[in-house]
Order: sequence, then C-alpha cells, then structure tokens
Amino acid sequence: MEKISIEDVKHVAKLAELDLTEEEINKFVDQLNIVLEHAGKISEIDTSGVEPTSHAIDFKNVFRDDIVKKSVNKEDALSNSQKIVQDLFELPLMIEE
Amino acid sequence: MDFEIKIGLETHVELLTDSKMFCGCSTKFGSPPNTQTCPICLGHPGTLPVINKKAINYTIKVALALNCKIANFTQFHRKNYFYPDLPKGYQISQYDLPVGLNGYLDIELDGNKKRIRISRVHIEEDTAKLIHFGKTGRISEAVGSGLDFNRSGIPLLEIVSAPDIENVEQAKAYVVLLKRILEYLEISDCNMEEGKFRIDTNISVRKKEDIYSKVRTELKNLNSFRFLEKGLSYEIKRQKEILSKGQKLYMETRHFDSETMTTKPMRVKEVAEDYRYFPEPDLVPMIIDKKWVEEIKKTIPELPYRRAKRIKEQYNLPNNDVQIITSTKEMADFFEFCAKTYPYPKKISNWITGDMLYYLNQEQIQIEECKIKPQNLVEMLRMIDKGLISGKIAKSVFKDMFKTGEMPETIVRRKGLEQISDVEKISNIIDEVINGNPDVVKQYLSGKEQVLAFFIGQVMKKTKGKANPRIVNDILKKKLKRMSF
Amino acid sequence: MEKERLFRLSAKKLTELLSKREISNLDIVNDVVERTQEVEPIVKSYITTNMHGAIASAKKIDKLIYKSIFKGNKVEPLMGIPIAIKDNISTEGMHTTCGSKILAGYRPIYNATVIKNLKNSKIVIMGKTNMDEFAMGSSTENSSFWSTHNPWNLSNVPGGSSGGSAAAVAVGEVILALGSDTGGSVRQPASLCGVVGLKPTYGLVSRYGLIAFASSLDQIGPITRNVEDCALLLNVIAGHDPLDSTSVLKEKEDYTEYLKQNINGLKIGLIKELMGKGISNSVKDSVYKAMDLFSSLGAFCEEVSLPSLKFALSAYYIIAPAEASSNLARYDGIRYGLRAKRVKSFRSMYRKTRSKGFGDEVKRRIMLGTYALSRGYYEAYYLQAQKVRTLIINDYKRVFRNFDVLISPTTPTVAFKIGERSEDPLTMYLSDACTIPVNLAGIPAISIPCGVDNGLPIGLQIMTPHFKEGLLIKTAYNFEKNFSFKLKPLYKKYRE
Ligand SMILES: [Mg+2]
Ligand SMILES: [Zn+2]
Repeated sequence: MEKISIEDVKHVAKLAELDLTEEEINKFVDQLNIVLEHAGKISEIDTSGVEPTSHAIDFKNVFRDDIVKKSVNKEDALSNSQKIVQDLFELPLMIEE
Repeated sequence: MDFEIKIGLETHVELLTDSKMFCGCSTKFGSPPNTQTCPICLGHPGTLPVINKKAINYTIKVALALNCKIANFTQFHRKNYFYPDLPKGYQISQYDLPVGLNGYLDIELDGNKKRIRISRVHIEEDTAKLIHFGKTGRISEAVGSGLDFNRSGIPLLEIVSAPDIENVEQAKAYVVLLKRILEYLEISDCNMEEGKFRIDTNISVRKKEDIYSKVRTELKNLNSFRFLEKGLSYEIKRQKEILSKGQKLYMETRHFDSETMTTKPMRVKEVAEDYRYFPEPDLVPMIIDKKWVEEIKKTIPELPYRRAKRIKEQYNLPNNDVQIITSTKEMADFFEFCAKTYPYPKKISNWITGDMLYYLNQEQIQIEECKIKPQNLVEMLRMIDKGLISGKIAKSVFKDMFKTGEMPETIVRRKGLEQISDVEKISNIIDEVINGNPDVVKQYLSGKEQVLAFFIGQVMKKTKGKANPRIVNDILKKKLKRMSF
Repeated sequence: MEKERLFRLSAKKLTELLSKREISNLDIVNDVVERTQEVEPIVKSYITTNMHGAIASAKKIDKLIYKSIFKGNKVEPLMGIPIAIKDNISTEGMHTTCGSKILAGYRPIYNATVIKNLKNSKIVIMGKTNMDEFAMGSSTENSSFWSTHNPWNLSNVPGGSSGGSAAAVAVGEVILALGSDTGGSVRQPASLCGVVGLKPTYGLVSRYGLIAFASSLDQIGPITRNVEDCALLLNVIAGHDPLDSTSVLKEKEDYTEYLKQNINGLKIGLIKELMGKGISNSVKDSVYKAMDLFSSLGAFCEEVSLPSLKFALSAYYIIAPAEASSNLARYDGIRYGLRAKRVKSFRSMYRKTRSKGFGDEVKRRIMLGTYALSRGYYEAYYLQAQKVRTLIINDYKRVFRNFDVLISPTTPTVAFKIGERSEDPLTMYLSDACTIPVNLAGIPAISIPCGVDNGLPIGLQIMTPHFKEGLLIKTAYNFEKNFSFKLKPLYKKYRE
C-alpha cells in the first residue's frame, strides 16, 4: 500500500473537519502509516469471488408502519444547545471561509 | 457558432407520509419551529433509524410509473458531508442500489414526442431548514442564521434524469409532466412554495466541435416553473457568450437569484466533494420481490398520458380540450364524472375549458377546491337542452354556481331566469320593437339584412335575455317578411 | 471479626436476603455507597455518580418489596440490585459524556432501551462509569477526564474501554455493570479486572441509546462477578427492540436454565491462531490448564485452526474507524455538547469545536476511517476489509460444524502499567487481538477468570455460534464452579 503523506493527512483532516496543528499532523503521518501498514495486510488476501459483509447477522426488510408518534416538546429539543434564538438553533454566519 | 446543449434535471420531492422517514415525528407543514422533532431526527447520540415502509412503497410506485426497473436488492448508504442542516453529519440516502433504475418519461412538444431517460429514482431523508435572520431573509444580507428541525428526516424522493434535455421548453415540459404524474400518484402534494417539489439542474453548453468537453454547471434554487425557465435561459445565454468569446467554462455550482433573475456562483469548492458513501450499518438491506412489486402496481392509477389518449378516443375531443382536461387528475375526474351521466362530452368540455377554467384562474384555485360539482354542471347542461334557459343565461347561472355551489334550478327559480318560450308574449314584444323603430325597418326592407341583429338585441333587452332566441328569430323574420309586401 | 459487607455478595445472594427480609434495599445501596466513598478517590471508576438518586430509588423499591412479600410473591430477580452504567449509554437527564469533552454537560432527553429494561426490573442505577473516549481504547487511559486504576494493582490499567465498569464491579463499588463491546471492550477489561464479561450476539441486545462507535460491531454486555449474575442481567437486557433495525426477532430465553446443565460430551476447540506469538506464557499456561479442567468435566478438547483470524485485526482497524468517522460527524457544536466560542463561520465552528472536543485517539481513528473511505481507497481498504470479514465468518461457521464451543485467552497479557502503551497505538491495538474476531463474526463470547499471574488476573474467552448464549453460560458456569478463584480487590482496603 502507498504511504500516507503530509498532504494526505491535511486533506483528510479537511474532510473530517478537524483543525490539526503542525505537530499533530507530523505525529499522525507516522502513526497512521504504522497502523495502515498493518491494516494493509488485508490486501494480501485473495478475495476474488467473496461478497463483502456489512453485518454478521443476515437481516432483511426491517420496517416500521407509517404511524405518527409524539414528538418531544420544544424545550427538551432545545435543552442541550449552547445557543438558541427564537426557538431556533443559532448558527454563526453562513459564510464559508 | 453551433452549440450543443445538454440539460439534466434532479428533482427532490417530499413524500406525503404521515410520519418521517426514520422516526415517528409528524411531517405536517407549517408548525412552529422545532416542535416536530425527537432525538432521532435531531441526530442525538445513540439514536437509530427505522425505515418507514410507506415511503418505500411510494418510491416503488413512482419508479414503476416512470418505467424504471425495480431493484430486487436495495439498501441505504450514508452520504457523508458536513453542513449545519444535516444533523448526523451524513444523509441516509441511496447510492449504487437505488429502488428504481433506467426508466423514461415521454414528453410531447408541438405534437413531437421526445423520450427523456430517467437514470434513477431513490429515497433519502430531507435536511433541516436553515432560516436567515435579516431584513430580506437572503443569505447575502443575513445577520445570523438558525435551524428548524421540523423538516429534518421527512422522506425525500430524488428523481434524476439523464442529460437528454436540449432546451428550456423541453425542460419545462418534463417538469410539468413529472409533477402531474406525481400528483396523479398521490404520493406528494408537490407544493413548490412549501419546498415539497424542488428542482436542481445540470447544464452543459459546448461548441458542436468540442466533443470532449465535459464541463457542466449545477444550478440550484429554481423553486417555480418561472424561475426554472428564467434560470435556464440566463445560464444558457451566459455560457454561450463565454464560449463565443473563446473563453473557457469551468465546473461550478450557481445559485438563481430571483430578484435579479440571474445566476450567481455559489461556492468554489475548496475540497473536491468526496461523500465517502458506505452501506448504512444501522439499517439492513431490502429485498423487493415480485409479489411486493405487483401489490404496488395495483395502486397505480391510469397515468396522464394514457388517460389523455383514452379520453381523446373515447369522447372524440380535440387535442386542446384533452390537454386542459387532463392537466390534473382532479379535472379529468370531474370531466369523466359528468360524461358518465351526460351524453354530449364536447358540451361538457366546452364549459370546463371555458368558463370553469376562467373562474378557477381568476380565483387561483384548483377544480377540487371549487364549489361546482359535476352534478351541478350536468344539471345545467340538461336545462339548456330542454330550452329552460338560454346559453347566455347559463353563463350567469354558472357564475352563481361557482360562487355558491347551488343547483342551477335553484338559482334560475330564485332569480326568475326561466326562458320565455310563449309565442304570443314574444310576438307582442316584437311588435313593440318594430313599431318603435320605423327607420331601421326601412333599412331592413331596402335589403340591409344585418340589422336583424339589432331587433333581436332589442327583444332580448326587453326580456332581460330570457326570450328563447330561436323563437324570437323565427317570428321576427316572418313579421318583417310580411311587411315587405 | 468484621461483619460480611453486602457489597461483596452476589446479586443472587442479595435477592435471597431481600426475600427473607434480613436486609432492606436501602442497606444494600448504603453499603455500596459507603464502599464507593472508600475506594472511588483511588480507583476512579465513575465519571458521574447517582448516589442520592440511588438512595431515593432504594427507598421506593423497599416499599414495593414489602408489598410483594406481603402478597406472598417472590422478590423479582435483580430488583433493587445496584448497577453501574458505562457512560456511552444514554440515560435521560443523567450526564452522559462517552468519556469525551465534546459531550461535557450533555444530558440526554431519552433513555436507551437497556436503561428502560433496567428500570422496568427496578434495578438501581448508581452512576456512569469511566471509559476510553467514545470507547476507543483498551486501557481507559483515553478518557478525557482521568484514568481508572486496576483495583488489583493501582499502577496498572483496568483495561478498556469499559474499564470503569469492570473496576467498579471488581472493587465492590457496585454489584453489576453494563459495558459495551466493539472489539473486546467488555471482555478485555473484565479479564484484566478478574470479573465476568459477556458480549452477546450482534442483535441480541438493543443498541438504541448506545452512543455509536462502530455500528456493525457494537453490542452492550453485562459485567458481573460471576456467571449466574451475568445470566440474570442478560435476561433483563436481551430481547427484540423495534427501535433498532438490527435487533433480532427472537423469543426471550431464561438463561439461568442453562446453569443446571453439565458439559459432558461437549466438543471444545482451542483456537490455535490465538495461542501464538504475543501471548504471554502465563496466559497460555492458564488456558491449557483450563482445557484440562474442561476435559476432566467430560468435554472433548482439541486445537483448531481458523487461518483467516490472522487478518482480523487488520480488517477491524479499517472497518471500526471507518464507521466511527461517520458516527462522530454529528458532534458539530449545534444541538448539544461543546461549542467553540468566537467563531466567524460554521466551518470554523466545526473545526474548532471538534479539535478541542476530541482527544488524540479519537482524532487518530477519525482520520484513519475517513482515509479508508475516501475516494481511491474505499475498494482497497473498506470493501476489502468487508470481504475479509466474510472469510472470518465462514471460518467460524466451518469450525462450528465440528465444535460446540471455542476457547482462547481473552487478552494476550495481564494488565499492563498505566502509561506503558499510550504512545504506541499499534501495540495498544494488539491488546484486542483475541477479542476482535468475535465482533467481526458477530458471535457471542464471554470472559471468565482462569488464573492469576503476579497478582493480576487472567481471563479465558469462550465463544459459541450466533444466539447460543445459553451454551456459553452453561460452559462458563461449569468452569467457574470447578475453579477456585478469589476476587481479591473486594477484600482490599485502599485507605489506611
Ligand atoms: Mg439527494
Ligand atoms: Zn423525529
């Protein structure tokens, strides 16, 4: 497997919305490479013709009926937020940097 | 310069289920903010989704109506991206295994048929609603924003067309027909103002010789037919101009600004979008077997184009009438209700496409919301046939019916509008008119037969339009003829 | 001589005493509270305690017990028994942090299904236990708050990520506990603390309200001091839940029924791949001795090979971080938890909030998982790992045709020193080498004490096919009955 680079780490950090310090980036490059080297061993296995498994248990067709249940009250819905304005979850300005 | 235009449309439609896609919260529109939420649709830690079966049924129904193949094996994926209106940081959506694949929709423009391929029909969840504070409610002038999660998790259908559309007219025809079909299927009320029917477009304009160009623009926020037209036209013009100058187009997402009727760049993506799709581990796959598909097939009503074809043949109506009558399911139902009990379909159609449509447009309502029921119209038509009222009187009766919903007989009786067919009475009035206008009689006798209309008008004026015009005509002619000898 | 303290007794024994009205529920809760006050400053099992709430509940339950006995009814199993809950299980109104700063102050507005079940059975919740942040770790050192100490030796880790739960049960701060197990997080700390820990079959216990780490692997499991209590607690938490689409529709079982059965003729396979390099000699030794004990009880024991297990750890460290990277995307500062201050845009709010709120290990796994799912790598990593998972499942299916149960060590070594592995992720990840394959295959497994080395306990892992928890309990119980083991921390005084 290819090695993960500083640029890769920066790109992935953006995808994951993490602000990493230079120090963290350097550390992660090393640590992720060690882990990926180990994890990359799976590429050695011949899996041609093998189906991927998402769940070890084979469930199918689990549904609920279209029935309305009581929602939580507004106060509870908003209770854990740091910032509420006019019963809305407040956001910083919607500009993007 | 020759250009080739390719347009693909992505339509998002909120389904008419009672509860949300993955939780039991109500989907009712217009409640106070954050009153229709629960830990699941707020994306609280530890919560899990459970699929609303009706939403899947509706998806199959639409996919069938759009001639798609129904996937035997289908599942949900997570589409991972960050945006404030997306509470879990991913949208539960479908990826490589949508419910419906490879369908089509045939549109008709000036009598020409064109097939627009439907790439996929899939089901996902809607996001929360972003509200911008500020004078105008527009993003650019907002002083702050907030989130209402009532919309979060409402079942959302996505219908993606292939880039088969070549101009604005086709795009409009496609959307109009699609919306009509969805309304026919009764899976969404398609209310565009409430954001229940939303259109995104992909547009690519290229010089004919530039066969390798794959640059396309995404255009968002086209929330009415008019905006769709304006936005597409503007965008095609803009792209043609750039290419004509020899400049290059680049991939971008643009936003339609309904104030200026122009499009503006929305964002230049700093990271190429990478949604990191993977199968949603909190849900299990679905097997849609033949039996299930057959059950859903039974719930599909006759669709607009089939119905139009049948109505045209069965009732022998001109194209124009058929188009109007089948423009909504309810209007077609109205027509056919009448046609069941009244034998002259063209007469019914004349009233529906004439006075009915006029008043509906004036009041900005749909036929199912108006007070006239099929029985009212049929009753009125019978009264005309029996000579109880004239066509002219009928127009005023219809206007009253539209207002009150009363039966025509009641209106006629209340207002004393019964037609006068009494020959003696009419004869006396005609005498009065002839005696009172000797000059005009002279004109008639000297060969100017057009003045006959004048006499008829006078008689009608005196009888407040109630005289039977056929009888008036007969007697008048006879009397004038006698005078010429 | 000191009177026998109630905190040392099993749930079963306490129920007997309650039934005979020799003690009250309040006596039990008071004694457990007293023990907690003695040892908590040293062991640090809890993030949040609910002592006042627990005392109030005990008083109410005492009335119910009185009424029940007055009517001639028995005291229901586990009624009034104190339990500790891992802090990644949602408790309405009770601080729930997942061991993370990003959820500091979060008070859920709903109860997990298992919590509803506990409340229905009148089990008393004593508090929320410490854990590795978002269950990512094997030592409880990754808690954003503090490390929990192994009550056998305070300079060692209790294991993780359910380290707080295992330590609390081992030291007598509580009688029962719930943990969660994604790659061994119930069994590994149970092993390192000398208690019993069971990971049920995927789908047996509802995940509704379990704050997700890796959704396709997570299961809630009991941590207790003996197999019987484990069976009793499993009775309460197992069962179908319509709120969890991956919850199995299966009739409820009474797992205590299996305690009555012997294991004569049982076919037991010792997994060869989990007895090789990296497994300490003392651990191997104990496992071989356990095999001898099983044989003496009439079981047939043999070594068996599951070649695909060599790749289990690799597959796990793709699948689990990938799912985690998505599961942890919801922590954005908007609806709950930490929110960075003085931010200009929502993007900077995300980045600052998440960078401040998540610890190192969590960031590392989010990075790893995001990478494994990203364009160009999905097939090579995630999809390939899911295929390897198929091979592992097939391997288990194959050997379960010839064996009723499988055994292995639970952990390669006894509890290591605090700080010893914290800067070396890979070595830390290897602590879960024996437990991880079980999660990938979705099968149930239990860890029970099978020895002591240098004053630290050793755990034996027993595994069965899907939904054969009964067989698991039967096998474990027969071993426990015939193996003498003393849970020393229960008798230890931590303050002079
Ligand atoms: Mg979509
Ligand atoms: Zn909800």
